[in-house]
Amino acid sequence: MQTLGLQDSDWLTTLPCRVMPYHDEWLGSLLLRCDEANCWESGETFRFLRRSTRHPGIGPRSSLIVAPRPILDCLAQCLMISREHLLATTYFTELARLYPPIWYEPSKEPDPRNLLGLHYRRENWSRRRELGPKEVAIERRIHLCPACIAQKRCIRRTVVLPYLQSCPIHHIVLQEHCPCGSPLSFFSQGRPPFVCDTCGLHWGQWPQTKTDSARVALENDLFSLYEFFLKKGTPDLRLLAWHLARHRIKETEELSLKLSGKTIKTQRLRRHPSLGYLVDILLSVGVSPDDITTDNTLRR
Amino acid sequence: MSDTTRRPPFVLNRVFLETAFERRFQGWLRHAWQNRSWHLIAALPGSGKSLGIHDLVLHSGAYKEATGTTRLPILAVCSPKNDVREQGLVSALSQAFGVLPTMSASFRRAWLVRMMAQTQVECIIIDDAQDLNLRHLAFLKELTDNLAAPPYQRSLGLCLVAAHGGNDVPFRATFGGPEVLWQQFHRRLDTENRYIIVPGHSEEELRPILATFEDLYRYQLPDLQLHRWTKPIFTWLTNPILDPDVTGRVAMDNLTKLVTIAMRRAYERGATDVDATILDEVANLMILRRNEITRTDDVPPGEKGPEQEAS
Repeated sequence: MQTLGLQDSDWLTTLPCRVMPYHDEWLGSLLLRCDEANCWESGETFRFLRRSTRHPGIGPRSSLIVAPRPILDCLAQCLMISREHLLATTYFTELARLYPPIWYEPSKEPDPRNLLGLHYRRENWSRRRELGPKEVAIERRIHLCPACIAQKRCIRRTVVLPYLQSCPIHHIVLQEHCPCGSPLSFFSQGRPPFVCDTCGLHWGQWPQTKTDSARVALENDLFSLYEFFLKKGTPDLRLLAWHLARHRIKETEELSLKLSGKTIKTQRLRRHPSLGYLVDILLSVGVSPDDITTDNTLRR
Repeated sequence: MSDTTRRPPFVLNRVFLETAFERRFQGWLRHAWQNRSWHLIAALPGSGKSLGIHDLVLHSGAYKEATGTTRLPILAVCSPKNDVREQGLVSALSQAFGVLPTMSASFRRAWLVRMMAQTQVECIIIDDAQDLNLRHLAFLKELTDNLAAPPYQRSLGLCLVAAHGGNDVPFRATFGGPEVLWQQFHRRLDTENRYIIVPGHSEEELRPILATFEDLYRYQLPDLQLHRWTKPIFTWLTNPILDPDVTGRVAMDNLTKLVTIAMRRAYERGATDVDATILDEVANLMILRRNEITRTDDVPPGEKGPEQEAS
């Protein structure tokens, strides 16, 4: 990446300290590293981007699984890196390929709920007085791997994938709470980045609990399905996997989902499932990526 | 069509010249940077102080790497003109690092200290320091004191670069005052060279500058021989109107104006060198007719009105 000198006009339009995304780093983690490198409070870069662009599609509880283009463009300018580098910190490209926009809205950005599921809280809902879908919607689980933080100050993009409970690299349980009991909060005003906003304990010092072997095996299968769809997935492949799953469960009336723990009626399966929901069903009926690529029954 | 109308417009060369003044001036700035000493450096308006600061800062080795490492050895800013509060100077110093989010005044002061330590600032240069007020100066002392204290323990050089008139320098009376703050400030200034006046160019120093101008403009005026006119140019530019303090030295701004206007006039008349008439004309313009009002229906040289363009 280019080193900036004072003779470059970009000196004054970039952050005092520029940070590059690590491989497979999540956008939220990059923003926190920007805060740390620039001696700012946690979330200062995120709030600066929101104020700079005034884009309505991003809120303080945003999953940052996809980020609006104006926000990415502003950050790309501030760090003097390409938008492609920043897109790689989100699942924007992968979701756009898996769930292409409808023909009459070709410029529509991918919806994070295509990954998280329809029951998850939308990120740009405005506050309402009465109890509405926002209030009954499920909050996205946020967690992190203390070992990744301790080693590289990095939260991987993969930790935002639904149902994943352990780090695919370190095989330790992803933590949602500080040992003091306080829930994890990524952008807490008035606190330095990467620490608990209640007791100030560094996230890298949170307990590192090994995942049991049964869960490791399940998570490996889960991760390989996510990898398959996110790397190679297309709408056709998604549809093929869906039909394969339906084909396997056509004899049964009810299906117990391994990841979400729900029991669903097979007649009421959603026709356009989110990736999280699809992966849950595929894993529950024992469909692997190899099955999808080699199955010729449905292709015929 | 005559020869003169076929020539392309005269092109000014704005390259930085390392003149004798700049060597002296930048020498003192470098001295402060290397020895972490404090000085008040004064020179006549138009001497080339700001250009000298810009050139030094550009070559100071500042960089921003994509790995999060930024280095800014010299933090040079212009004194705030429209904010008499110390916050004006805090903002000016902070903004030299790049784009910043909105921060409260107290947070920004603390942030500035941390960022200066992190980016290894070694010297602060304040241009147009004559516009600083006492609150700004008090803040500079606070800032450098904070950096000198643990955990940073960094001592900084400080250059207050001011334009002066007469044989005195700004703030000399202030720093000599009985208040404790100014006594402390005075104590921090370099013992041997607290107040420095960097003079303009002597007659001997004009000759190489004129030779450099010849090299720069030779492709437009092939027979240019400016150095022949060193003595008259020096005499004109040390006229009491252009040198009111009677220093007997030439300011770079006056020299550049005289030479470039003369060269442009010669070029527009189709000449290949400047002559005594043109130089005399320009010198008169700068000395005797310096406050003259121009009433004209003409468009500026090189510009064409819509009617002329249409025809």
